[in-house]
Amino acid sequence: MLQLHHEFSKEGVCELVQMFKDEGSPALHRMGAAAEIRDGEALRREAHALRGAAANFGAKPLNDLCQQIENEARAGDFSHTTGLLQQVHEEYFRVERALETEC
Amino acid sequence: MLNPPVVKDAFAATPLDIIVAEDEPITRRRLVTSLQTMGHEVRAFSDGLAAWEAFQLQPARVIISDWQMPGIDGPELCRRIRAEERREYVYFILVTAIQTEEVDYQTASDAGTDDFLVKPLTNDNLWRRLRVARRILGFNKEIGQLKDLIPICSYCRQVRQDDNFWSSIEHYVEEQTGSRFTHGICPQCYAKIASDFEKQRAAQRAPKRALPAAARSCCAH
Repeated sequence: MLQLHHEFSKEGVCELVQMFKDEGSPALHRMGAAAEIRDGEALRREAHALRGAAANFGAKPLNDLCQQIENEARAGDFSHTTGLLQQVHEEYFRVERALETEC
Repeated sequence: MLNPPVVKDAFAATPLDIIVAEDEPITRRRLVTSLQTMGHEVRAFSDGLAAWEAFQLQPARVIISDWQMPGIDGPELCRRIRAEERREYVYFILVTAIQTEEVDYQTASDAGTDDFLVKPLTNDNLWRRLRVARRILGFNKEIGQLKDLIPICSYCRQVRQDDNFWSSIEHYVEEQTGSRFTHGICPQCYAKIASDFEKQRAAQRAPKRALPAAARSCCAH
């Protein structure tokens, strides 16, 4: 986050935060839907996208959780998916609240 | 939107024509804004295929591409660009996640990737990579000029240099590229020279022609 503030103006950072908020909830929904039908490729793709978005804000725990889902989805392993998705939800909303205080 | 980059250098002056291929919207937006603020011309696409089609319509000097994308991925985009016979070199930067396997780097290198940027992207990193890109593209341009535009005398094969001084082609290439020459003889020249040499020797071996009659009569007594 510090890096973003260093490189972008406040309006610029807020614009990126808004994009994150706009994209986040639908992405979580799509991840849940993919997990439900055991669509490993779709789940991997969504987790990868959210991980990329989170990386822009230095949200490392969210980044790491998405990485875990991505790895397991690639391997076709859904044994931890429900628990991981729950953690991703909680972490996502924690990041979202933290970002809101920046704008 | 962007604060001015901290790093400055002599290579900063020339804007580059850049294609960005990145499916994640925030990273794409961040890249585009950063590059535009650095003064570059940017065209951005959300998948590899769209970037490829845009490149075919109008090539770019630099591609900054995400690795995993819908359609065609970063290494495949690079492979397609390298497969085209282009006079101007295209500098290809692949954007990678932190956890990238060594074998993947090998695949990307084999595809023709010049450089890698690791997410999360920072302006300083981007700036440094583009500085290298500009330097490499500059060398490529100079090599192209050296290859294509050497003014050479059609008769004696001497080369005209910038100061209107004519020098041997060996001297010119050594000076421009640092390459050194060893001298030998090619089969065609060897055949010609050997033939000339044989003719000379044959002429030397032939019996001397008899003097004309007038000369003989004057010296007979």
